[in-house]
Amino acid sequence: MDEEIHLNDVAALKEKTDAGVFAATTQALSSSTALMSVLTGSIASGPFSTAIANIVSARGDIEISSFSITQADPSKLSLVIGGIAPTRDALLAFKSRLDAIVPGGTVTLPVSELANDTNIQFSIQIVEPIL
Amino acid sequence: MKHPHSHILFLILAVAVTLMVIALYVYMFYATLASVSKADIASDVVQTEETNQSLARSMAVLASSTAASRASLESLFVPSDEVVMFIKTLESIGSRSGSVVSIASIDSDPLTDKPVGTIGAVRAHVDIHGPWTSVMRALSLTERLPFDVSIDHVQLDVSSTALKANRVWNLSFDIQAAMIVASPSSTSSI
Repeated sequence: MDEEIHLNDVAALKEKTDAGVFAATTQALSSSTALMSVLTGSIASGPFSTAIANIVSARGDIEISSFSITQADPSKLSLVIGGIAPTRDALLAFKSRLDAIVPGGTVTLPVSELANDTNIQFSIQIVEPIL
Repeated sequence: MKHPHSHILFLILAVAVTLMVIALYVYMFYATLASVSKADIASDVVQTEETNQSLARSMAVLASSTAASRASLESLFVPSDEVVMFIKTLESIGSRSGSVVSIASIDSDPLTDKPVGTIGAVRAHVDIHGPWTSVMRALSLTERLPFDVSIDHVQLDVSSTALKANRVWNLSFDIQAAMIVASPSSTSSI
């Protein structure tokens, strides 16, 4: 008797369910999830202008003539800066300032760039985490 | 002693009735047990169905309350039939930043005849020339385009040895924008 009552309840509940609305809602939410996954994947796209502005603000009397920036992976920017430093000390000071503005990153100045004492053409490589 | 064997008959009858009652009892016991078990299963089915319907109602409420936000997600994608609008938006950065913008190359995923909601990408290589401030403004504007864009391989160098104030800078980069086959009602005219 109880069994029959329960089975009647199930039938009544299933009649109340609008399968079409449920399917449409599921479809709508799935579509939004797909769009969100695409957008989330590109949120970390490189803030290139900010990276360049930060480097320029630290240049002092260094003359920068080129930037080359690539997104090494979704969490890192790889930058190569080219330019001319008036003196060796100015170049080393520039590297120190870059070290300070790239916390958690690496700034590489090849020793060979320090051979000359004045008007040094240099190339510095920076790997900067994207925050 | 008129009927010397009548008590044996009654005894046999009593034993037979007792056996029948025992057999009936055993049958009723197992029948009731089976019925209770089925009722338990049916009760579980009812509870599961009620839980599922409750979850479905919650999902419907969630879908309804986020409908507006979800609809705006699509606006971050370049409609597949409006790539020209994207090109014009890129080119307009030149006049807005005071630089010269040219699109060196552009291509997109083939989304013709694909179902609504299919996602692809449009890719371009962009060259920009101008004074430092204009070129930097152009880069900043490009990063803030109202689409889901990603930029890579940025090259920036000075192209002349003129006096510092008059120097022309060359900027080039690859840009990729997410593209979607939009529903007919969501596309706007160029």
